[in-house]
Amino acid sequence: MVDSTLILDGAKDQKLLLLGNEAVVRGGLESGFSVFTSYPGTPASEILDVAATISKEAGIYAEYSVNEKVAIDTAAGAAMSGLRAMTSMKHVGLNVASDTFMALPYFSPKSALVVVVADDPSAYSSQTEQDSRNYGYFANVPMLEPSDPQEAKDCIVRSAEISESVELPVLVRLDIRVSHVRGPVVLGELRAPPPRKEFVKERGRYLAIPPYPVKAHEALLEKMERCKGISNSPEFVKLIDRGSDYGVICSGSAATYVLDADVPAPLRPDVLKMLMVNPLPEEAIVEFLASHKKVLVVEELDPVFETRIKELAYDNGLKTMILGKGVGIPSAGELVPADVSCAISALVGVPQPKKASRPAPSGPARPPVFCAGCPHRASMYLIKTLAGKNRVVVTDIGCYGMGSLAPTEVGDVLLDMGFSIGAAGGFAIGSKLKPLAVIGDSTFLHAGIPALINAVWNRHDLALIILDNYITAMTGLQPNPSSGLDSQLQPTDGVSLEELVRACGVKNLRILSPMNVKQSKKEIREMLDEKGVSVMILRQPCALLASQQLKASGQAATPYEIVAENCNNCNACLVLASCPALIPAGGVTEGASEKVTIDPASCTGCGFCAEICPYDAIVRGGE
Amino acid sequence: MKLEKPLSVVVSGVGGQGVLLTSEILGNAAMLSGLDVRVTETHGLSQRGGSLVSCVRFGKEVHSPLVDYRGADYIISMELLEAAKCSIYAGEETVHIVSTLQIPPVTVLSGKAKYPPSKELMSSVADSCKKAYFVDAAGMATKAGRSLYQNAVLLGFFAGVTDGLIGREDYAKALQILVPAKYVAPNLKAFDMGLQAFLGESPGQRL
Repeated sequence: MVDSTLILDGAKDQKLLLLGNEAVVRGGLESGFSVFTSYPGTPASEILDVAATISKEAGIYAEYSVNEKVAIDTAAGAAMSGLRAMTSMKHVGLNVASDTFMALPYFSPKSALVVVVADDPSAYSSQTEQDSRNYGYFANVPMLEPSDPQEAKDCIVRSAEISESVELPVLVRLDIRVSHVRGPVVLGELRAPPPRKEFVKERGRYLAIPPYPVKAHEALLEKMERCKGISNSPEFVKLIDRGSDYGVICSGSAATYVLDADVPAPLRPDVLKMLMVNPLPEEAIVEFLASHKKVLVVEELDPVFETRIKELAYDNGLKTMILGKGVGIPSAGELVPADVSCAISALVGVPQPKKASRPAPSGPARPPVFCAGCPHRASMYLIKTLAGKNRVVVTDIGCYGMGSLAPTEVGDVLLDMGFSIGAAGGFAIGSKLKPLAVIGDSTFLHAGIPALINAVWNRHDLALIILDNYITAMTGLQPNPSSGLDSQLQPTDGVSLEELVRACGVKNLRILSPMNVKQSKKEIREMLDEKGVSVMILRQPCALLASQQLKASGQAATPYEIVAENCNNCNACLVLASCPALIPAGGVTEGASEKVTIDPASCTGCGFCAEICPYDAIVRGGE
Repeated sequence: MKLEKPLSVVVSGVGGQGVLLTSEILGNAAMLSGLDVRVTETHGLSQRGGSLVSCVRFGKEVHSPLVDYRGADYIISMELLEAAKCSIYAGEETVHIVSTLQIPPVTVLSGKAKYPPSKELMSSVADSCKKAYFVDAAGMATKAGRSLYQNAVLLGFFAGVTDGLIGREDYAKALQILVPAKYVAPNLKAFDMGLQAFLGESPGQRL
């Protein structure tokens, strides 16, 4: 990865191969943003990771907030107080932030407020592949959709100007093929924050209470009318005129597949590429429709533009044939270049290139696994062993969510952040077996607390295991209130989970390390047998975090070893632990040992395999 | 160098092997040689030992970061089973450079599946493309200092196969940008070993 300091120190006109997310931060620095907030989530995480890393040198404020709602509230407050503020989140994070996001356009700050949302078509790292463009229209705010890292950087600069010129928050919609794409970015000049617009108390200006909302709504509609001039300007809508009778309308990453489509050069259609997509550049679109026989709308996921463009054609009495989702542009799954090449070939009437079939890859699957030394391995083993076949286990978002996949298969229900506790309450109503909810520290702090209070208050009969590994591991080891570290990894006042759980009204609380297998088993059994809300905190630091800390202190892990004469290759360790440090006896790849072995380079010395070995054949190195 | 039609390179391997770093080195080297570039990972959780595939496209002008199935000009695979899986990106004109390193997936470790015999995997890779090179990249990398340097070996081999399309000095500069200073020299050594391995195999070609 490019050293984060280059994103700050890179000179004007220097060209760097930046990730879209890194380019967003540079864009913020080139337009005087001083506040960055976020809750980590793929594919948006790197925005705040970079901002936090360079915050001191850049003189900016960057925080991981406890959730996206708090992140947008903090950014909004900062912008109301006169600072340019950016909040970034993944698509489903915007659902969490949506209460504020919907109200802000009525009562918007005077300083720039930019909401960067990164979608995940194909849901590579998400629960859904929600199309966040819908939020731009739902809240009715200016929305920009860049197609590559360079445009992402430039969009941030322009969005700050738009936000302040009309006094509205601006939504910059990225997707994974912008956020997680590297492309050459020519840097602009860094800019100091503009003079602070001090907060002025104006009755009703920021009060979302009758009688103000209706007037504010009218003002919003009027502001968005004014934005039409901006979206129609050549800077925000580009026409590629090849003199064709056929045209394509597109934006964002979909536009990159249109521009590279595998269609013979003389037959390529004209292209209208939009950068500002709310309001749509209506004048440009109407003119484009009027001058073409057939127009194809290429967009990923929902037919958001297609329906609006058809409406525009109807309103303007245009008979142009408008194609889109009906001709091979899928509504589900990530758009791929072949889909676009096929649809464009059909549009211009050339034989369609043979569509590459999608044969299933051969060989055994390679799902992601818990790292060597990961405490979730022990926790999953405990839950699997004790929950029993018929008990419902509702798990949550985080590394431990991977435990619901093979080979562990722990967790029957998994929906969204914090769902586990509320849903377990629902399962508990009229159920014979006490349901078990499983949640990580970061997710509990993000969305689990109200649900736990609800469970106590409404006397739900449920068990909750909080897997406390001190860190938000899944998205790249970001600190959270359980870490006791702030966004710059400096010590801060954290939160005590046990005090928090007790304050929610929980009487039955147990705190254990999952590595203490025997005691944990006993206490989980007790917990599952008692009535009411029972909580267990299984606490052990994330293995990646622990090994970083060990390395920083100049120490090394003590790997475990197999005592060959005790090992009878029962494979209990392999089946129950599935640890990448355990190498099976012969037969996996050529040249393997006759007994199970432990790779000393990967073993972190957690000792879990030794705990579960029935023959005491695994010992700490040197013992 | 023109490259009016962009070249599509797919890099595959296991999370933790340096698939993303390899793609980034290649991307930076291409950019430094004056080309337009896009790099993206297509799926996987980079730190969690899952399958990982990354796309690098470069040429005079590039927009799309994604490579279609059967659409790769070159594939660089850092693990044998992943090479076989990644053959979905191979077509009739594809050249596939494969490290013969084998890393058993968790499904094999837990006894739920068998790692296919290497001969089977190699013939399935060879059948799917125009030309496959099987390289003991991890062995060479170990000689250069660490088996992890195998990505540099494979890049050196790729530089040989592509016959100086991107100059060695651009790969070296890219390494300097992306790799901590003390690791640049051993990486370059590994790169040169890969390059020499190719030249040894095809004595007629020069960089």
